[in-house]
Amino acid sequence: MTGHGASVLPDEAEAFQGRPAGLVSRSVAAVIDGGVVGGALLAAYLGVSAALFAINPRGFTFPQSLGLFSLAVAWALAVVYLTIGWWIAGRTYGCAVMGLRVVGRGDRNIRFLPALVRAGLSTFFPIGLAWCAVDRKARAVHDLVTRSHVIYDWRHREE
Amino acid sequence: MTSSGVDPARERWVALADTSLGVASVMGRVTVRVVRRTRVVATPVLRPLARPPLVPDRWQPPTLADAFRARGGLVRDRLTIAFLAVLDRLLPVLVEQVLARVDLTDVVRRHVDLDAIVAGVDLDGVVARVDVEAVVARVDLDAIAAGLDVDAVAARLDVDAVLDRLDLTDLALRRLDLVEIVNAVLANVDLATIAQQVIDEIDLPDIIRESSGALTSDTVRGARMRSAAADQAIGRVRDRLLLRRHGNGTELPTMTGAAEPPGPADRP
Repeated sequence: MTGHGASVLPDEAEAFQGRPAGLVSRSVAAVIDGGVVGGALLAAYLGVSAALFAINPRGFTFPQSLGLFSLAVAWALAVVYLTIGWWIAGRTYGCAVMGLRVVGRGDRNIRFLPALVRAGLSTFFPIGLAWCAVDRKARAVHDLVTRSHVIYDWRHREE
Repeated sequence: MTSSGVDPARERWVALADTSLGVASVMGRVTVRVVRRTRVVATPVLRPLARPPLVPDRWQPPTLADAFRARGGLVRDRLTIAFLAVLDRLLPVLVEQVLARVDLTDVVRRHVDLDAIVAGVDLDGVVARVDVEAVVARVDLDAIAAGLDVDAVAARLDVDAVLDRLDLTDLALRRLDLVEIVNAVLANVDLATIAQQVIDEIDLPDIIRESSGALTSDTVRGARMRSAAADQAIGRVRDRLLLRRHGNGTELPTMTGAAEPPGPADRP
């Protein structure tokens, strides 16, 4: 949408595009991503239940929580989801909703390994996100480790 | 001609004729009476005279009468031939002169019942005997067409009525090569320019903004703006605390509203 001055970006949002996103925006995006992962887990749980029912309808009972295993599955799923999102598109669904993008040096998409490390850290140590409220460049702990940062980028979807 | 309208010459001729007829009538009657009175007496005397004695047969009155009749017949034939010859020569001239002096059309119109004549004519039979194709073949249609005022004819034509009787859609679909037409139209149309003009006219960016999907709906945009404003507020608090801790008296630039950037300290 360039060349004709036709951008879907509201005028009032034009000013802070490309600048570091703060704690609130990133937290909302994280909550949305958590909802996505939770929904995926629920869907997986229902799918497994449906499979068990199909295999043995008479003796079917809903699978019981397996404690650490469930937690590990949830963590792994979240890591995979966040890694792929940041590596491929620079954003997860939560980031897309909030108009955020994870970038590395030169505002380019981060590579696979930094994306994987970042996903692992952000899920294993989510409170590290709070550091962006203190950091002058609004970087969280996993940003500092992987030398990445999160910017406002509402325009990215339309480019 | 007198004041009473009677021609004096004609009057004299009529009087003379009447007088002659009167005299002739009287003489005729007198003669008939004399003959009737004297017939009885004269017949015995005259009868022998019809076939006189001592006169040869060739000179007898009946023979002479026959000879005279035969000669008279020959003369009559010759006169008839001569009269017809004269008539052949004279009649055309006379008729021509008569017609020159008489309005024949007016005479026919006044004295002839043309309707009765036409009613008695078998027009269907006449038309059936007419070779129309031969008639048309003798007609110079090109000359007639050249003389026609086609504009005047077309002006009287009710084009709407003609079009109402036609199924133009069906005609167009059957007779027109639509692909060819569309290609020709597209070849003459600068679609890029038109599209650019349309975009310029209708403020497409605004429409896209208003009709974008869920991610750019008003709800999402509002959430983004409010979150950005909250980020900005947190950034201001952080900057204030950091400045106080470092004893730096520099004033932070004011930021009003969510439309402002999150702050210079947040810039990458």
